[in-house]
Amino acid sequence: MKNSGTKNVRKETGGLLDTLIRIPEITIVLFIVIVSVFIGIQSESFFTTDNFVNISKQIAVNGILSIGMMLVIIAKGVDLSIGSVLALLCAVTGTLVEQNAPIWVAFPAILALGAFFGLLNGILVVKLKVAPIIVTLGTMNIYRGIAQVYSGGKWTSNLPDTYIMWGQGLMPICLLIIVAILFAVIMKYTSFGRHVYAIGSNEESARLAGIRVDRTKKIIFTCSGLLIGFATMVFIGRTGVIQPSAGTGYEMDAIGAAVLGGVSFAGGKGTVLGTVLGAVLMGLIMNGMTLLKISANYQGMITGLIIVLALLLDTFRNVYQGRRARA
Amino acid sequence: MTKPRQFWKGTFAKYNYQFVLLLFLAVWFVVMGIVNHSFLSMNNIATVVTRLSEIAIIAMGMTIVVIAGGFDLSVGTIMAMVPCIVGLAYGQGVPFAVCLAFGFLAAMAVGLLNGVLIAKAGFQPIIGTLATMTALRSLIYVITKGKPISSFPENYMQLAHGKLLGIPIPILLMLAFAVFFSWIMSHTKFGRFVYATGGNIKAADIAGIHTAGLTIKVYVLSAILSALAGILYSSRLISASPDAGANTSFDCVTAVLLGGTSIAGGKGNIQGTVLGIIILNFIINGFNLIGINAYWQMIFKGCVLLAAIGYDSRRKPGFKMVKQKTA
Repeated sequence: MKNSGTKNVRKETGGLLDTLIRIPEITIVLFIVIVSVFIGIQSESFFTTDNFVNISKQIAVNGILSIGMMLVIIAKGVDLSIGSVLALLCAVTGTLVEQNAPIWVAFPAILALGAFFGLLNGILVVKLKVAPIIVTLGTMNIYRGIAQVYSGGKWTSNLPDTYIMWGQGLMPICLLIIVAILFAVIMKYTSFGRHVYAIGSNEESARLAGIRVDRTKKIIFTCSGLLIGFATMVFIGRTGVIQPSAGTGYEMDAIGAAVLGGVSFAGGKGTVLGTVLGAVLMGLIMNGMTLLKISANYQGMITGLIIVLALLLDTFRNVYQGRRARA
Repeated sequence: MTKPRQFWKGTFAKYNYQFVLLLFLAVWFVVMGIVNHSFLSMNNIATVVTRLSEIAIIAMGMTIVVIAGGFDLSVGTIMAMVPCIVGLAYGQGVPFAVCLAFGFLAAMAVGLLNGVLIAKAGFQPIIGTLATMTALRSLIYVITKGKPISSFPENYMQLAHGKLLGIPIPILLMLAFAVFFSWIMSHTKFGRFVYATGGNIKAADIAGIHTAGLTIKVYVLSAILSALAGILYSSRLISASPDAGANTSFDCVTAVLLGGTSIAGGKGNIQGTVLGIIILNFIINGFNLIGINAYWQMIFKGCVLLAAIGYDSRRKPGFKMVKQKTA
């Protein structure tokens, strides 16, 4: 237990590169500044209040989703089903609107349902004993199919103001900040948070240390589902319509944000702050593409490129740290 | 001494599962034949088999990738990309053979990229190919401007619609590839190295197999087969659509796993995959004839995938049997 002192000793060593490698958040902040300045020079409408509110809305949905994704990736999994769950929750919200359900019923109901779908993922992952990525590849299609069958593909518009308000003005960014702080605290100060890191670093040791791995995994996926519920409400409020085809490719954005933020697929590494910053960077880039009138067709290319670069950075980081540890 | 008995036991254990699949296919044929009279018509069966041969060719490549311990989500996108490139180049007046060469070279480049990212940079196969898939799809939209391409030579359709000895050419191609790759996997050094790499990559490395090179080769092979399937598919429709193959990767994975290939790698065979593809496509064809919509089919396929991986993870105790035999 006394060994925790070594961490402080190591902090004294190293130059700029070392600091950048050790604290991925600094790298992202640098990138955010560079990207902002670049877009700001190219487009006058970038540094305006309207645009920032606009960006904040876009970031909020992806940010909330990527915090859930971060939890799963830290525990050495990936959740590919988040976009489909979002679509399914949208479809259910459509029904709730039709039934004139008041928001204080609808909001908790969507959260609970999201948590339930997440739990279902978690149970499957634990019971089938297969990598979460494969399981969620299956449930991604199942949830998407259910969303389409359930809603019949129909859109709902003319939503009541109580539904819209969650995605208007500064509400989304406030929700994101609340969720981020909540999960930052959970990850840092609760035993659950530490168990997530432990499982990601080495599942077998975590099990031997007495951590209930299966239960923790179920909770992780439940949290991810709960966050999708939050994101759904913001998403519906922002777009003002309910479309069951929503959320395709959102898993890529969430993975991108998390990986940019220094969450490692090797497991056991990553912070809420980094993830949120990653989401901010992705949001800025996407916004910049709109402002610079780059066709939406390029969007996937940029997302893919960002993820590849972020992963390469992660590989480089691991190799570098491995070398330092050996030296 | 008990060699014959062990041989039968081994053969039974190996083919038992595929026998069950065949039995299921027979039952399905009988049931569907009673429910819908057009199901068993020669015309319907020929159409289904001709169409499934495209996807079966992709799935064979996928099988080899999965046996090598990998995963390739980009196959559907490569299948869409190649005919778009070929058609665009031909539209510009490039000789057709050169267009084809362009198409295949592009596919090989993507395969090479996948392989290098996974084998050299240590990406998780699904994430790496998910990133290339997203980027490629957007690249296709950029080069085609989202419009289908139909500038193909006059006799291009002969490839998919032509017949040799009364059998459609795609079916012949599929059979030829099935025999060829079964032989490769069971009788060549390459095949055994693939099994070894997928079974235990560290052991394979220590045994002197150049696993990184092998992994790259496997992804390039998968890309080439996807390109070929793309050519067949565009020859069938005489058109190349930029949104083709959106679900192909998922269908292929489902068929590969249904055919008894283990997602953990090192186990599986080509025959199983072909059987998986045949079953899946006849089930879907039956659903279409009864009038079950595409989204129900999506849910169904997701459930098949989960069931297949569930069965696979239950089957793992089978390793003990092998160990006892050697002891």
